[in-house]
Amino acid sequence: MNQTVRSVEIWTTIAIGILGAAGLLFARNLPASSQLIPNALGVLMIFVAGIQAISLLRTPASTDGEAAPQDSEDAGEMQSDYAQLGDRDARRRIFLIVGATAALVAVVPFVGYAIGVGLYMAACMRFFAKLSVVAALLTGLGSFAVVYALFEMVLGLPPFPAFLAGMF
Amino acid sequence: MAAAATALWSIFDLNVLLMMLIGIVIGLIMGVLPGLGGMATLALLLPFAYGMEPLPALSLIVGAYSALYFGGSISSILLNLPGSGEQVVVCFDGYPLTKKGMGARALGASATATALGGLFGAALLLVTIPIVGEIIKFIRPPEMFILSLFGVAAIGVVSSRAVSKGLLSGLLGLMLSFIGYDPIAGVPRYTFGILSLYDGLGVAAMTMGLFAIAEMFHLFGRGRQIVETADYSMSNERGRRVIDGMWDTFRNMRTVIEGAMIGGIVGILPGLGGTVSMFFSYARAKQRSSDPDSFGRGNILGVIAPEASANAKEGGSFVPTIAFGIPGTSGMAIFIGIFLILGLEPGPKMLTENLHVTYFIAFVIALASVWASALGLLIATPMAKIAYVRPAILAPAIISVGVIGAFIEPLTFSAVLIALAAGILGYWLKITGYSRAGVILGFIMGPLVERYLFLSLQAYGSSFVLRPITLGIIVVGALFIFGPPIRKRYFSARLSEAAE
Repeated sequence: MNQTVRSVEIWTTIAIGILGAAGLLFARNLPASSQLIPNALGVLMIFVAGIQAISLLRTPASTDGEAAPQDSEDAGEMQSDYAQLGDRDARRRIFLIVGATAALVAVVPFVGYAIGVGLYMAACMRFFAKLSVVAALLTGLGSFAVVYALFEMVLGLPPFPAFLAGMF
Repeated sequence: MAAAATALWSIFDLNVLLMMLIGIVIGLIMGVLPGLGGMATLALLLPFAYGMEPLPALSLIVGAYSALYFGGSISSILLNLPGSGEQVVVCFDGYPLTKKGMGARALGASATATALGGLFGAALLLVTIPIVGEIIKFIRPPEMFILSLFGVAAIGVVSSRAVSKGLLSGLLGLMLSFIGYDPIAGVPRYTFGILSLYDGLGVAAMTMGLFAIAEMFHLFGRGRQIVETADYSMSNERGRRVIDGMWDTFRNMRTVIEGAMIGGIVGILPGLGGTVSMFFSYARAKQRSSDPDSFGRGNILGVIAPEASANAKEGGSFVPTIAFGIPGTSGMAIFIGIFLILGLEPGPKMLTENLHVTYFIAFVIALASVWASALGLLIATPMAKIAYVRPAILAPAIISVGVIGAFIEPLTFSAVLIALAAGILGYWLKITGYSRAGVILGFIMGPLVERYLFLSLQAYGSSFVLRPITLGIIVVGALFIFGPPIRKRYFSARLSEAAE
């Protein structure tokens, strides 16, 4: 296991252990019956995370750059998964898609879900899939229509022509 | 018998049949798309359960689930691209057959074997229900509590890369399930005064985030389309046609039955998963063959054996899921959530007052497996082209569906935020080798675990763990979870000693 993989594994384990400790801490003010299972789980999480962290700390980091995890029957798959973290392009793409999704989530309370999804699809098709402006806009419009139709069906929104009439 | 008749009658309802057909089409398409798989498909279909009656909803979702395998077989055979990880075994002989110009024959064999496997799985479920119905009379809340915990731990351990990671995944899911109102005392826990957390994180938002959205982040990170180049051809020549493959399957009925039996048994055993059953069936067929060297070079039995076990396993895995709430496979973890959304609590009630629903599921598996194979064969060639779709197009579309799916049930903005957070968490868990199936199962089972513990303590006090059946389950569960790593460590030590 190389140094990067080892660090990621150790910090992930520590984060889960801290989550268990936080669970214990925040359960203190609850009635006794509500505390029982959260407390037991918190202790177990700290215990298992502790064992895993010790095992990781005892595993020496290799310097050959190979990510070969212990206890793994699918080391190849894991290696490729970790490679995403090591690859600058992959990291950039992940940040882009997470950022775009966060923008969608931020915008929907203000513009509505159908318009939000339409805008998101149009922008993604233009910038990620490199579609032409017209194709991206059509995709966005199509997505808006699908989401609107879905909401019309499930939530009983006014039919689309009435919605358009209301806009103008 | 009356429950079986009611179930059989219900299946011929037009709405149910239509939903099953829609589910099959969705399942075939999602199956062809590598990188999505069963979990993401179930996650995307889960929100539909909120607005539907139980039987049409189950026919939609079980129909899709039954069709997924054959969808994956199409891309495995024609493009050498397994729809899900376990289907890699179908590529071993399926793709060489395609390269020899016998893709249609391999698809015919695959479709027939999958359909027969589905029928076997459904029959197994039907036969097992009365037996399990007798066993479950001895199961009380203490046993259900231990079985629920065992299920969470088993699915976590089997679907992660280390025992400790599997356990931590299950524990994390349980911990997340405690956010919101405590079902026993009625006090809010871990809500920090945020009103939208009082109802908990929500099954739809968590499932959508952990599977559909996280999977898309991962796929988008790869940055290239799933299939770069592929060369497949379908022939209508004698000996290379779909019908020839179908005859191959019927001529090798023993291989089909063996594969289906292996699948069914593996499915019943919690947490073993599809990879084991498909590889085991393949190995068995190779072992029995008079020409084992031809396996891996295009032997039709190498397609038939794993395909027969694939759908049979699903029928088997419904048995522990329905009766005890212990998922046989990772996909069953989401099914438990779907059952709960539909107001069907896995456990004894599914074998008594909701028995007709259990029979209904068996009939849907049987019918959907046959329909999926027939429909899949008709549209296999154009469908294989779906695998060429670029992540840059697929990911935003699936994320949009995920965002809407998370929103539709609670109709609150917070659900969308939770789905995004769960998506980021799911992506991280995926690349670090933790079990997302363990997390979601822990999350779904959390309230039930707590209720069973409360009932056990009320009825038996803290000595409930000393009940003989409970003790027996604890011992078997511990052996199942900790046995393999201990054995592995022991053998490694022996091997290194021998080497020295």
